[in-house]
Amino acid sequence: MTVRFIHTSDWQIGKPFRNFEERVAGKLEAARISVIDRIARIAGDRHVRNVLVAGDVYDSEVIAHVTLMQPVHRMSRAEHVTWWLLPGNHDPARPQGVWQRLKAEDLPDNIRVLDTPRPVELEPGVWLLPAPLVAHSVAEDPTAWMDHAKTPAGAVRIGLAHGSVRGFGSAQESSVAIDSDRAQKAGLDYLALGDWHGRRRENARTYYSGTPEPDRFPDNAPGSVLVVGIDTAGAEPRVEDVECASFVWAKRDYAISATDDLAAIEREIGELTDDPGRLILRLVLAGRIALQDIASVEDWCATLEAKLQFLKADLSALLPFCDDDYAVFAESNELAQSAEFLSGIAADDNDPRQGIAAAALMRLAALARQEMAGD
Amino acid sequence: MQIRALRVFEVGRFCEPVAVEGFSGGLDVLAGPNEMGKSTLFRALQMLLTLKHNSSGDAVKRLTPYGGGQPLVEADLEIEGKLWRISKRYGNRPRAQLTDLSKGRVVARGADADVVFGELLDVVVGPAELGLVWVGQKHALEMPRPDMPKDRGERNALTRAIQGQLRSITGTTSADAVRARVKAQLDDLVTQRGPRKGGRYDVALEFQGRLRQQVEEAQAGVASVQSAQAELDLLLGRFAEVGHPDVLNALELAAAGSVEELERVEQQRLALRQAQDEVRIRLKDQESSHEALKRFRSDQERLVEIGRRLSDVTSRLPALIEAAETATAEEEKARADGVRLSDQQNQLQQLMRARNVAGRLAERAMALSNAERLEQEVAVEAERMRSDPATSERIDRLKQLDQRRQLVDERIAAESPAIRIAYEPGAKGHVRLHGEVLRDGAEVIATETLTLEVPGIGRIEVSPGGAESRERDLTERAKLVAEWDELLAAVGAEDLSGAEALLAERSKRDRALSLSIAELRRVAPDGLVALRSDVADFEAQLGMLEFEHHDLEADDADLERRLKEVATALTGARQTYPGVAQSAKTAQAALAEADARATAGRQQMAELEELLGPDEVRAERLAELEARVAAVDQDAADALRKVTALQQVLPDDDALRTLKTRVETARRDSEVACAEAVRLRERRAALIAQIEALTNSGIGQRLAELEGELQRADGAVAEIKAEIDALELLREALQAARDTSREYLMAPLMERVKPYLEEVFGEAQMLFEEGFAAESLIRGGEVEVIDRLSDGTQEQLAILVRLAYALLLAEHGKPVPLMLDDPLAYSDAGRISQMFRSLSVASRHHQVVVLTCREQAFAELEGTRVGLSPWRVDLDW
Repeated sequence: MTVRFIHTSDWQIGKPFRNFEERVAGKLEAARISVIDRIARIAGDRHVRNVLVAGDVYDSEVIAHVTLMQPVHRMSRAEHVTWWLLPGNHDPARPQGVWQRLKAEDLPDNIRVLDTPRPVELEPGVWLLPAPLVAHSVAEDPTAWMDHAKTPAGAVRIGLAHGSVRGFGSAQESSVAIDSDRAQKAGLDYLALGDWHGRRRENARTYYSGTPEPDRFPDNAPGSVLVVGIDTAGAEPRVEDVECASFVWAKRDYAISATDDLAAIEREIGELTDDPGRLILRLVLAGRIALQDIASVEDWCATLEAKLQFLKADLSALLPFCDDDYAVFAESNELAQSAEFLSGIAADDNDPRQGIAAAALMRLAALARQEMAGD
Repeated sequence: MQIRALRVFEVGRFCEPVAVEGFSGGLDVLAGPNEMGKSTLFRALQMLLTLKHNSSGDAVKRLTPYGGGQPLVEADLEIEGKLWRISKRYGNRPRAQLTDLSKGRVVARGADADVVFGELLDVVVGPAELGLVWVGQKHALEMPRPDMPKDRGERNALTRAIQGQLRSITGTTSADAVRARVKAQLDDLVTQRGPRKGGRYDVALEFQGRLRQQVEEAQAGVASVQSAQAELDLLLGRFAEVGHPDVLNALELAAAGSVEELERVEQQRLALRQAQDEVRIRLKDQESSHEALKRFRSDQERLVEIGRRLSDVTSRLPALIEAAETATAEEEKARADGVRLSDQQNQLQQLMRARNVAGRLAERAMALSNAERLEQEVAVEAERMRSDPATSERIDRLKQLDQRRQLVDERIAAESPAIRIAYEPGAKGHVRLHGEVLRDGAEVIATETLTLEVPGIGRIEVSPGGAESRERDLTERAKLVAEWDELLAAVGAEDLSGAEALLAERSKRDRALSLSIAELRRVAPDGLVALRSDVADFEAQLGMLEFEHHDLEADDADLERRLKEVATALTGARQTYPGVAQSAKTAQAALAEADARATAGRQQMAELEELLGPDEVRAERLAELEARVAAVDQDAADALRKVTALQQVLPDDDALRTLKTRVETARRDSEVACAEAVRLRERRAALIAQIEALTNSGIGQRLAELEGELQRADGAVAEIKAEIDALELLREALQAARDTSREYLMAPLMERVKPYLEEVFGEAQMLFEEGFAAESLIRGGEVEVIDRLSDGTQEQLAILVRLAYALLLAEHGKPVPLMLDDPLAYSDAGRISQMFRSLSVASRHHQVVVLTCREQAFAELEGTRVGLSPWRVDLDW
């Protein structure tokens, strides 16, 4: 009989987004809670009874009670699903830590805390081998014990862990090292990993699910859960990627040389999502552009910002150059000389003041325009 | 413009009309002494060119003569090749007139003349141009600073002149506006010392700092939780090791077993100490029993010995008593003889003293009698002297009055007419005064009105006259006579000689009184009271002495002899007495000693008999004591054996110490374990409380929030910093452009001044500030600040700069005359010559007018000499 479950991780409930303005931060925080409902819905749709969360359910091990209980209420409502929760590096299993506090509550039967490294029967003939973390970083591979873990003969063995596969990782994730051959060494049918916020296939039996709700401008593929099916012990698992994120986070860098380039960029951005209101975009524009076009670029950014959920436009890499006949400086030799001076620096790639000169030139143009307009 | 003639009337010191004619239009020099009126002419021309005729300000008042008047100034000017005459009369009835000399007609009068002349003048010269190139007296040293301290249009005048030769320099106003905006925006953000207080940058930095601090606090809180969790983890492990009840029970049982063993040993030690105490008691008892037996035997022996010695003493007592009585009787007799002789000697000595006192008493009594008599005499005479009116003071006053009266009389006489009688033969005695015939040759002083009678002829009345001094003298004389009469009456004399006789008598008595007083002092030098006291003392002394009064009459030699005999006998008695007394004392002492020894022997025997008891029980008592000694010897031996037995079974000191250590260790282990268990439980509770408190506060989430906010704050600060960097670079760019413009603008001025500079200073260059003021001089590659140069050099440079200004103006079609009033006062001969050459060169481009009082120094200066000449002024216009 095929065993089916959902593999997810890195919910990081309680993570604030105070680096965003309040309006956006509130929505992003709410989305991290509501993703539980969406996962439950996916489980229901696909008749999956178990959801394995591979660590970092919570963003911090020092959270308020209300934050602690928010996901519990969501999970308890999904009675058709059993939630298997693994302590990760953000919420390690420590004395008086989140898990001890959580277990002290009257948890419903469909929530299981895996804070001990010993085999647990997921369902008949299917054994779960959890590797809970007890600290932010540990020197030993927490999955090593799985190699010698006893399970009944013929049982499906599923490993659940949180850490970085060797030769892989980023500054954002923990420093917990996991052997990439663990699935093979421990005879696992599937190793469900967390910590890496993007989904990733390490090998046929080892996967990162990524976070179901992105929380940063990624260079990976977040925003989904993995629906896994294993027909029998030893069979290669079938893994389906199912999107469940509320918001689409994107970071895009473009080089422009004229305002004409903006139309193509806008089209490309439009393809990121059908609903621009879901898009959290960080846009970097670079390149040399005529000084008189800067105002048009700024206007375009303002218009785009109004369409999206959030836009962070970085124009500091734009290097304006000044035409001789730029009217705003034609009135004054001194202003023209100043613009020429600044343009020279802005055009020099070896001058450390290049960016400053670009900004100064744009400000000079703005001030000159104000002066001309009598503002 | 060129000045061709200048005329003044009722201007300053020029009350008469004068004119300076013959200006060449090139280099013109008006040289003359001080107070010639050169500066007045300078100011008059300045006033003519810049003030309307109806002005009445300070400039006009300063040029109005002290005696009043209406300053009239007139000048012939060549403007753009045409000659004009402008005449202005200031004061109460101001007038003005402008004449076109080429046509010989007046073109305007009054206000019209001012307007037309102003328009005409403005073509070439205005106040701004004049300010640039006219140098008044005492101002030559000042470096020209256009438009300082107020805007007079001088900079604009120069700018116009320069821009006429350059391509247009446009937009300085808009550049200034942008520069001002940049400055304002920067000022809003930063000051020279850092972020502007309360400014956007400052607020952002402060917010960032506050957030950073909050983040650190939150991080510390989270770290505290993590630390507490780690500690709790370790603590729980430790508690499992030491805090379990079985572990604690085992430790307590071990400690209890050790304590029981130690208590048993302690019991044994106590029994040993008690046995040792018993031994000490037995030994002491043994010692006292032996001592009692020994003492009993000794007392028996001493009783026998004392009885023997008492018998011996008792046998010697009768002989000792007899010897003592004999010696005592001899001593009594010797003492009685001594006393008697001593009494006799004392009586004789008292008699001798009484005789002496009686003699001195008689002498003092005699002296007292004499003194009392003298005292009586002195008192009588002193009283008489006090009542005598003829005192020396009164007599001296009479003498003074007599002298003063004589002086007054002489003065009166001197002032009075004197009449001398000189009879004709046969006429003697015919002249009478108050009936008395005046003798021939008699002289009469008419101190008062006199009437001379000449029988047969009539009466001649002579009056002394009525002078005031005479009246004063008469009054004074009357006062003197009155006092004289009063004093004589008081003294009781008829005249001065009588008074002097009375004074002589008084002096005689005074001397006698002095002699009596001296005698009294000799008889009673310490006074009568002391004398009376002496007599009383001697009488008292005599009364206290015991003697027979008739013995006072005894012969002195007999008394001496008797006294000598008694003294000799007394000396012999005193020499004999000590030996007799010592013999008596020795005999009594021997008797007393024997008696005391007998008494002591009897007492000792009684005491020993008391101790030993009656003689019949002494043997029994001795036997008891001997039995007691044998018994205590046995008890002591038994006690010692018991101690030895106990010591053999008691553990030694090392074993006891080991046992104690074991007990202490077991007890300590148990206590430590219990205490640690308690501490661990308490610490566990505290850590749990600490963790719960912090976790319930959501500090981890708060940290994440703060980190997000800090990230935003960092971004905001970075943006403002980038803005500041951009503004500062923009300010730098604008300043560089302004510097370039200034250099561009100053270049023509630097070029114009350069030939003049080289004429005077050789290879040199001058730098100018933005406002055309000279900034520094460059000579030999060295930059010299103008203010630090010598006065002479500064003055020369100031003139050269004005020459450059004038040259620029001339080239711009505004050839303004350079006017110098008393220049080059600080220049040496060499520099003056060089400056003269510069002035000559300059005069080729525009007129140069030099006013100087130093004719000789300026003799070398080329040019046309002009001077003052009378002016036939026409006031009918």
